[in-house]
Amino acid sequence: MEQNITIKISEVFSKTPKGRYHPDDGQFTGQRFRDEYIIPIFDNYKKIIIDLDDLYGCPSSFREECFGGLARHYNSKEKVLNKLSFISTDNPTLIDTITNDIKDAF
Amino acid sequence: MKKVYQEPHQLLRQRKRQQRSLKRKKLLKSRGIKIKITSSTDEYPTIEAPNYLSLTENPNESLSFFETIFKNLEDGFRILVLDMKNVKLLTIEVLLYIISIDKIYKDKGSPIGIKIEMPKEYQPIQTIYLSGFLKYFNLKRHKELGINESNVLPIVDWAESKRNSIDGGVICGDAVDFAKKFDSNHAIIKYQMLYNSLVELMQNTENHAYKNSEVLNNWYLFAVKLKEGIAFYFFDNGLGVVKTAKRTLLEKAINEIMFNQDSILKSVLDGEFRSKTGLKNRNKGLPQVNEFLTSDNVSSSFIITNQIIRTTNGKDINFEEINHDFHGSLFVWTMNYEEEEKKEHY
Repeated sequence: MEQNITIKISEVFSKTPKGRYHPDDGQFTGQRFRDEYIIPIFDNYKKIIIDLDDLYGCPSSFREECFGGLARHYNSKEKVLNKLSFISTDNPTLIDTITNDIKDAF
Repeated sequence: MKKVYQEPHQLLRQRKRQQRSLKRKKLLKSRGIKIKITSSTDEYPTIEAPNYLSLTENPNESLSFFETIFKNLEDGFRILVLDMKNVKLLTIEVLLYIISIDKIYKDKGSPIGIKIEMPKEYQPIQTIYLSGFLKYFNLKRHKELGINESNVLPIVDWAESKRNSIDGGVICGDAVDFAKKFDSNHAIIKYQMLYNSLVELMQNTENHAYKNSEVLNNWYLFAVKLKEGIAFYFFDNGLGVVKTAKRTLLEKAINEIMFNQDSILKSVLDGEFRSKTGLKNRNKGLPQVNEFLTSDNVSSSFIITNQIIRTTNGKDINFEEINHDFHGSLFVWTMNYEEEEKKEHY
C-alpha cells in the first residue's frame, strides 16, 4: 500500500461541484466524485488527502453525499475519518464541517 | 377593472368561434390573401395591477393581483390582459412569477396568452427591459433609456438552461463572477457562501419543491447591481418551504405540534428541523442558506413562501403572516460590496 495521494477537486473534477446524485443533480455531484475518484483508490493508500482549495464553493448537498455517503458506503465513520485528511487554506472551517458530515452520516 | 364573466357554455361557444376564425385566417394566408388582423382586447379579462406591484414592498395587494389572475385562469380564460399602465413601482420577482405561470400552463399542455399593457413610468419600464423579461413575451422594445445593461444578470431560467445542457454549478459560478466584478473585496469565504447558497436553493427546488406535483421543476435567478448592494432574486414555484416541511413531518409520523407557518419556516432555516425529523444527514441546505442571509455579507433579505414572510435587516429578523398563499418560494437578498476607489491621476 502506497503512502499518500492528494486529490485536488478543482483540478481533477470541477471548480463548481453541485448536488448529490448523478446524473439527476448535474454533472459534478457528490456521488460521482465519491464513486469515481475516492472509492476506486480507497484501499490503495494509507492516506487520501482531499484538497478543497480553488473551488467556487462546497455546498452541503455535494459534501454530505460525497463524504457522509462514503461513511455509509463502508458502514464505518472511523474508517473514513482515519483514511481521509483535508487541505483547505481558503476556508479552514470547512474541514470541521466535513468531519461533522461524516459523524452525522448515520 | 374591466372584467367579462361568461357562463361555461358561452365560453365553449366563444372558443369554437375563435378556432374557426383562426382556421379561416390560416387558409386565406396560405392562399396568399392578405388579411387585416385587428386585435381587440375587449373580449379578454383585463386585470389592473396595483400602483406598487411588488411582493417585497406590497405583498398583500400584489398577491391579490395574482389571485385574480389564477381565478380567471381557473374559470377557463386563456388570454388575460395585465394592465400595468398605472404601475409606479415594479420589482423583478413579479415578472419571474408571471413568466413561471405562463410556463406552467404551457408545460401542462394548456397554453395561455398574457398581454401586458405597458407601464408609463420610468422605473417599471426599466425593470421590464433590464430583466430580460421582453424575450419571454412579445413586447415592443422601448427606446434606449440610458440603462446600463452590464449592471444586470438577466433572468436565468433553469428549464431553458437544462435544455441547453448548462450545468447548474456553472450557472451559480457565473452569478458569483457577476457579483465579484463590482466588488473590490473578493473575500473567498463570502463568495463561497454565495455560491453554496445558490446551489442549495436550486437543489431544494429540484429535490423537494415539486414532490408529488404534476408541475415541472423550475427556478429563476436574477441579479442586479444597486447603489446599496448587489440584489439577488431566486424564485421557484413549487410547494413552498412550509408545505414541503409539513409533508416530511407527516411522512415521519412525527407528532410535532408546529401549526404556525413561522415556527415551521424558522425550524427549517435554523436546522432544528433536522433533529426533529431524525434526519441529521439531510436538510442541511436551507440552514446553509440562512447562515449566509444572516451574515455580515448581506445587509437585508426577504423570504416569502406559502403564507409567511421573513425579513432580515442587519441583525433584526421578523416574521409576518400574510392573507394570501404564495405559490412557491422567493428569496431576495442584498449583498454588500466595496466599490473600488477611483485613483486620481496627476
